[in-house]
Amino acid sequence: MMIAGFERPSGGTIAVGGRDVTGVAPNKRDVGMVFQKYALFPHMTIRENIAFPLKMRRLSRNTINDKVDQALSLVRLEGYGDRLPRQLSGGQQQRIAVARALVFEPPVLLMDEPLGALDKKLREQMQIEIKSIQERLGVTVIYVTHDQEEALTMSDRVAVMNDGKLAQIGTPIELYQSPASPIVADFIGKMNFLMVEFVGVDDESLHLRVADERTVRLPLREERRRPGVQPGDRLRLAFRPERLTLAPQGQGGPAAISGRIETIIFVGAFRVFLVSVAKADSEPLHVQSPIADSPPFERGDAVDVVLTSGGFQWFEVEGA
Amino acid sequence: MSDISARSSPSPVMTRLRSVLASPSAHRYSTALSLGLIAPWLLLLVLGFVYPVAKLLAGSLFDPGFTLVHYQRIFEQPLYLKILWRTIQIAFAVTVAAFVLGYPIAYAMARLSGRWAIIVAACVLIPLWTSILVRSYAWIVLLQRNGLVNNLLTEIGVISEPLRLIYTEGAVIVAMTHVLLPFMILPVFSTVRSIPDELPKAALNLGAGRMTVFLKVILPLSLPGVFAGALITFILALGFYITPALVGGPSTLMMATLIGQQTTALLNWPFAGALSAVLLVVTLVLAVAFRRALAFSRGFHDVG
Repeated sequence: MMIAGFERPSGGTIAVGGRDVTGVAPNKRDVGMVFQKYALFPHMTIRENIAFPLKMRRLSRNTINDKVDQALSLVRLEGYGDRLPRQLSGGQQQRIAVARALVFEPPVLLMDEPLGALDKKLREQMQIEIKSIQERLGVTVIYVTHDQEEALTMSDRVAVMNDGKLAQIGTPIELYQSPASPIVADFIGKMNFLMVEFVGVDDESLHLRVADERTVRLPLREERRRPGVQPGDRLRLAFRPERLTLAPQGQGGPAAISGRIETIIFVGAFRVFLVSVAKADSEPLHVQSPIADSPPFERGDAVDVVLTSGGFQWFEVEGA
Repeated sequence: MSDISARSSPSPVMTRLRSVLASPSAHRYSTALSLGLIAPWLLLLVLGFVYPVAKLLAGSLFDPGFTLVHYQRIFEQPLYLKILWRTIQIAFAVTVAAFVLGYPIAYAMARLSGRWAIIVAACVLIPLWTSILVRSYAWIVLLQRNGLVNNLLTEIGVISEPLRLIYTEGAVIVAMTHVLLPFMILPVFSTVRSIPDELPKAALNLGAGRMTVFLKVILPLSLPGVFAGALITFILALGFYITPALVGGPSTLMMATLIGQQTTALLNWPFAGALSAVLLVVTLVLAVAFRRALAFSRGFHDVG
């Protein structure tokens, strides 16, 4: 909303391609925008809708016609120019909205949860389509979404916002593998959290105490040997479900947390084991393993959840 | 045993009754039930409206045998056609004035929020809830020879002699516009309000200035409300009785007042019936013509 100029920032500047547009009115900004509910003008035909930004720029009739044709073919809806928006399906309307936002060749295209109103199948189709249009035109797209999967699959860089603040900005892989805060970790993909107590660190491992008073030694990689915490400090250990393996209880080695299988969920390509850790005040840990070599455990079995090197991260507990 | 069998196979009468009352789809009533539900209203309409109107119209045609003499009188005497034409003109002027004054108010009402929205809505609605008689008398107070307007103008020295404001066509138009304004404002308000916020925003974003946004997006999309409001205002104005009777003089006689005179003062019911029939036909023709003209407007078709 601020990028498009509908709201004024309380501080700072907004620049598009080096041009400061903070004080520029919305209609002078040249920021293409796709609205959540398409916002096509219901009383105009598709052609008139797409021609609207061009007419506002006082282009000649012929130029407008050519550009509208190009825009329609870009979104593969050539034959639909004379229809009214309500005669199109949701996905088609969304494509027209994209065409209208791109037809005046803005340097930036802003998309505010553009696929929110579509069903899952269509959404995935449109994601691919938007991505391919973006690649063909080389336009910068700022894509607002609450769908973390969408954020990961569509972007080159992701900015995670929380409470109006920028929590982290980086490539999807950076965000997934080394989230800067528990909030980012939790937002991008499924993350297990477990409260532990820091005991100490030696050359190759980190010693932590879990709720059941057992000490766990986690293998440490070079770059992870981060001091700054004192023995006795509480830490939030975070690890991804797919970086965990299961072993029968007692056979998990030093880097294992013991627990009991509560539920097993079948999710198509893989299986998720929900393992509750005794006395730990946390949700059951999710352990994800491919169907092909899924361990032969049953509900109720006592198991060790084994953490692998580099497959975990810790956060200091705020206020501790 | 007999109890159970009775319950499991309901009597044929009950089945019949159920098939009449119930309908296959849950959100539609059966024909019989629908008829039953509208029957009281229908009865009232027939007794209170259709019958008297039919009687009045019949009275205008049979006196006692079939005759067109009352209609002849309307079309032969220039006075009555003049009154009819004046009525249409005044109704048209009132409609235009109500649109010009009402649209901005409706627009403001739709865009405002919080306390101001309530204040403006109250300003529109409270007059609507006030008796038309009171509002018409208010205009008499304002416009009469020693009324507020004349006094004010004399005090500040604009005029030396009081102007003749009341009992003029202008007074009728002003007072009727005031009385009928809410009927224009409310439909316009509801259509402006139903325009999604994104549409003006999208237009701005695509490069339109504020004025263009209004002319190209808001106005066309609010036309259904404008037309609805204009039609209501116009039709009400055509048959308006109290206000023209109070603030208008003999030189501004309108159809409704004329009909009133014929019935209450002259007791010439057949002629009043003929006048009513003419007014009714004119109203219907204009209303239909109005809708026809609007059918060309795509904006109207679309949203309405």
